[in-house]
Amino acid sequence: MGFRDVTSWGSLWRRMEASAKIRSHTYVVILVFLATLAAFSYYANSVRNTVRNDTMLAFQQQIRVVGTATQARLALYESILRGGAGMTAIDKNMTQADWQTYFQSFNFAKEYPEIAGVGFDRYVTANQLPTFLQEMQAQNPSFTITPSGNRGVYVPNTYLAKYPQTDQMTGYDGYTDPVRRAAMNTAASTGIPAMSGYVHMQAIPNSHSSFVIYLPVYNTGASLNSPADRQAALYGFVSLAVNINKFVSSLIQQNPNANFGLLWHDNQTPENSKAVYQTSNFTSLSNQPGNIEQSIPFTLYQHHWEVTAIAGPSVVPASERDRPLNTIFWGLLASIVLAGVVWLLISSREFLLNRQKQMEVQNAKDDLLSLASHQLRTPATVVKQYVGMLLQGYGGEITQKQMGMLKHAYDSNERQLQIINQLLYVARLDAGRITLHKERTDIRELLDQVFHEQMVESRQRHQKLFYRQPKKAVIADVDPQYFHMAIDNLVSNAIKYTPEKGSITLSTKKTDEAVLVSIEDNGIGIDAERQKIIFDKFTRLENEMAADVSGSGIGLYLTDQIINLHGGHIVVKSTPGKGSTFTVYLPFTTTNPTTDETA
Amino acid sequence: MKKILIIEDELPLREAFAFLLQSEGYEVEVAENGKVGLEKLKLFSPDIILLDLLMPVMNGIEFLKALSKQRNTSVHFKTLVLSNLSDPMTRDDIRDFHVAGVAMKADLSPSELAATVKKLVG
Repeated sequence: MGFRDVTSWGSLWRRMEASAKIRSHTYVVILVFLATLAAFSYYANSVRNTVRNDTMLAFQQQIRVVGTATQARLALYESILRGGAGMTAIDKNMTQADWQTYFQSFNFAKEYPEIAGVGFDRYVTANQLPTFLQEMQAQNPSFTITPSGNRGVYVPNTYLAKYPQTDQMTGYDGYTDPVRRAAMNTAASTGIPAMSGYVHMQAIPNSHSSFVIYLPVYNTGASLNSPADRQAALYGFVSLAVNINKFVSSLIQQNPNANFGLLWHDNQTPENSKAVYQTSNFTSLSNQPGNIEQSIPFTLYQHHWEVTAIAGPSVVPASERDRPLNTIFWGLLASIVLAGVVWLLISSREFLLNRQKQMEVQNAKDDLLSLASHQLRTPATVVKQYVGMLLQGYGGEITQKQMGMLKHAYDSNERQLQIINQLLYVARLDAGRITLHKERTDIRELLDQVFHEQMVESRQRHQKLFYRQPKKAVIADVDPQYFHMAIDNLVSNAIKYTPEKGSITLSTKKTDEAVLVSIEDNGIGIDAERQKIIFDKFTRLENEMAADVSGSGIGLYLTDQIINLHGGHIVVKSTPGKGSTFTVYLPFTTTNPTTDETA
Repeated sequence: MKKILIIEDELPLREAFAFLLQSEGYEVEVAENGKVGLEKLKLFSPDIILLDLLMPVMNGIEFLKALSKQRNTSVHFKTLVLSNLSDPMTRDDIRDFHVAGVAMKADLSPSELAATVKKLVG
């Protein structure tokens, strides 16, 4: 397994670790999102209940309004009934005309359009029938009891006011109708008004459903202590027929609400158990989702009814109705925002921790490298000093052969020191710990220094080193130490890869866009494939000169990185067998001067 | 005869520098750390001190600090820091003490070191 394989495994492991971290973050974020959403949903539910309660309150308010109006109306009816009863008590010989005159003052048509009529129905036993008929026919010769036939008891209508078709007595025996009879019997035995179930007005063809309230009238002075006493003393009934349709309409009209409807049942009379009245909006309201329906049984004058009240959702304002939905919406939004914030917090915290950890590792690595390089340098320095003293004659005369041996030792030691230096710089560079201290520098002079320093080396290799120095200064903002190191590396490299008697030429110039430094040689050159990787770390050119050439394979990497740090780049042009040109481009930026300065 | 104090913990290097500079005609005294160096200064007045930085007991920076506190104005000597520490932070630390020069031991050959010393003290 090669070096690159290890790196791949390492990066794969890091990627796996990173994806595991992302997964755990995602879980936390999803958890926060769900928790917030759940909290808001719970709150939305309570809001929904509140709104429902409010709706119910508004609904019940409507029911109360109708109930109160009903009570008030019925109290009026009772006063009308008692007025009629009073009439009959005062004057037993009262005529139809008297009855009509009395009730005209009530102005039913205008004030109480729902009242179909007010009548008096005499209670007549079979024994009393002949006398009764004589009496009635004296007033109205055509008076007959309908339906005809022999019965034990007759309760024919004798006076009548306010039927639209007729204001005459009808002679209709309501006692023959089981619904009316039930109410009459209840009224007679209890002594208080009793209401019938819903009936049809016999005198009114196609009439709407109505109910009739009967108030019993007893013979004056009779004992009324028991139901039997009251039955024996019964004289007749004042009856008041009310059109249910108009009755309910008039009640609702007092406080109209399109979102509130009623359905009225006769809850007592089995054959009449179907609805006797419903408001026109009832069906549409009952089809609306979110409506409220409530059935309320109630008793009016001893008759049991049931009203189904229904309220559409619009009975409460839209703003109130939309609150649960709004709560969900804002809750969702808040959940997303909160989850986002948590994600950001986790990410930034992790980023900081990672950074801190990275810094600690880098610091430790750097300290170790500094120390290690110091420790490595010290013995190499000792070797350099002693071998150097021998070479330079401090230890006395040495032979040419000894000199050659010592020279090899010295060169090897130098190479070792150079590698230690480069490794140290690469370590710093990779840790991002190389900070440039840029100064306005005359590149011309910097190249001159490099030229003179490398002169010895090129001479030893019997090469020609040229420097085409421009007349005008070439100014750029560079870190002199690092830029010098980069150019020095390039020249040193050119020397290494150029055979004896070859030539290396340094030059620099300034264009409109950049400062250029070129190192041209007529050495072995680099093929296109190798050109792509020469700036990679630990790449060494392998060729026929390899045995002669020393290098760590990090010089060009270091050089390229330093130039990159300066905002520049290196362009390589090379033909194998003919030579190479390395050109450093330092483009003018905010950090590099753009004016043409001359020294 | 110019006097040189070499403060260097690495014995072979200390001896190499001493031998080299004695060969160049200087009077040389040596010390293995900053503390010993301070002791030597009581009896020996050098024209230049060659100072290593990374040393046990008292390192070069501590030596410079101690020196700056007790330095007698009548005593004049230069300091050439000779180290293998290339940490820029270390160089910044040294800058405060106005040393005469800083050099990497690994960079100087014996003749270059001799030339550097000669340039500073003659």
